[in-house]
Amino acid sequence: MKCKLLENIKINEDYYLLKFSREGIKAEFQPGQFVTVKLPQQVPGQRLGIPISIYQADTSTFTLFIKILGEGTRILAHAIQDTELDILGPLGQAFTLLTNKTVLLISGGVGYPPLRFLKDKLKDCQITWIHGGKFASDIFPCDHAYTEDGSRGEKGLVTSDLRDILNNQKFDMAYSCGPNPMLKAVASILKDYDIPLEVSLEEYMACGIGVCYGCAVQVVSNDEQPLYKRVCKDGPVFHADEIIWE
Amino acid sequence: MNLKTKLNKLVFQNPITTASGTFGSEMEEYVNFNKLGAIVTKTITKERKAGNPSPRLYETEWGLLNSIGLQNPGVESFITETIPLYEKYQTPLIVSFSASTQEEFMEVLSRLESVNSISGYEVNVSCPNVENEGLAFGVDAQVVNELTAKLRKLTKKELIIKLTPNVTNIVDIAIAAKEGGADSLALINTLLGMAIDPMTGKSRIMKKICGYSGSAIKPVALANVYRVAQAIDIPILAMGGAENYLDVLEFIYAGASMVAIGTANFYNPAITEKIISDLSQHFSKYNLTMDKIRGKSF
Repeated sequence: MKCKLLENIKINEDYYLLKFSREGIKAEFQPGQFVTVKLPQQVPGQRLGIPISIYQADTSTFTLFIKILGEGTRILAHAIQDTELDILGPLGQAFTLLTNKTVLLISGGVGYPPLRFLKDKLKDCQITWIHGGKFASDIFPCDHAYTEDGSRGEKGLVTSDLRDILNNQKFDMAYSCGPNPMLKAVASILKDYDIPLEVSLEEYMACGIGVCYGCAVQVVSNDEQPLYKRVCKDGPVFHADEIIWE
Repeated sequence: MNLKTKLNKLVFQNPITTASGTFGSEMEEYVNFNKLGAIVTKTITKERKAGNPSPRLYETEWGLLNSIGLQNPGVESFITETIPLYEKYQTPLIVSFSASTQEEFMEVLSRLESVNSISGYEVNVSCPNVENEGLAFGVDAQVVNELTAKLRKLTKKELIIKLTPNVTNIVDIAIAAKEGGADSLALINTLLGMAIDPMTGKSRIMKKICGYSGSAIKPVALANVYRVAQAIDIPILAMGGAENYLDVLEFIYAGASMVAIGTANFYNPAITEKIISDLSQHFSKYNLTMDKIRGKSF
């Protein structure tokens, strides 16, 4: 599907907001889902669509919040208004939406966008959002911010005060998105407090639609041989209990 | 325009099919399966196969490295869960399968023979042979000959042997398969490849050496198809980096009767239909038929 880029807003040196027309896309966009975006020109080594989670969507547009991580995302970040890009989606399984609950959101770096979309869709929930990043430029609106260099919010990791937060407040549900080591640490802490957790995973993908089995994540199995699920089709959202963390 | 073509026993409305492992029922949203010449399904094995640990993929300059490890649910689940998804289509269904012993190849084929909606088989002989020091079946002409002969006795359906290019002389293997009773040959399976992070030295793929596909391997695939087509008379299902109708024409000129689209399905899941439409226009414009151009490279 060709989607027209309506607006490209630079947040800072690393992060950009790309707003697209969703004309022709019938499916509803749900928090946790993603799209794959092909670059406007053929770039060696970057011909596959880039999977990017959805940041916002309404009846006529959807918005991606991207971080420049390499050549591909750099080209995307500099795409100009009215460029038509090949986009597949929305793809994958969404977060479970709750109503009237106490919810904890935990994100790291570019794990922020899907939780922002989720926050908008959680009805009548009391939400606490903690977010961490390496530098001040990785920090976006939230309740508690952490940076590794201490340049913004508290100095430390997003998990630094997590136990204190959990000791002080009860949560019905938690959602998390960020780098795998962070998710692993979050999952381990939340398990101690018996709080259900949904995580959104990131993995190298080829097709994005469940065909190639390239984006495998190992999940719990009662069989003696390992069991892998597809991040693109069976995820990217999984119950944390299901995942075997490396 | 008439894009009709055939392998040995099967006739197809056009020469475009799907390379095993790059296509599945998930593509229904993007492709009208009835438009395809044939559908080749992802390789199955007797029992469920877990597949390889991640990372399994890495995109190179003009190709793709993959190390999926034949993840599949096993033949029983394939018959009950997957086959019905294709039964609503008229397009011939070709099932790819593999095994780690000759006996197991025969067991899987026997089991598949009970399914009427299967039109033919693509035998993936690139798997390690546990009876032969783990060498791939497809690198040993005598093994390929024996295995083909055993499978031939079990089916009257189109029996396609898929050859690996990772051999000294692919023509020897092709002859062995033909003499064993293969109806047709599929070539080529993936090359071997690897990628390393130059900053750390870490392999990009967990299993390190893996399959290499995509447009980068097209010249290699063409050379293999051409050599086999020149050497022996047997229908060829070609694959290896074809991603548009011009690539398909090259393969047909090299000697292919059918061309499978693989990695290109990942760049664009609707690509097969586009290629068929472009090829049809080209055949009309230049008044071509498959017979006029197949194997006619000079």
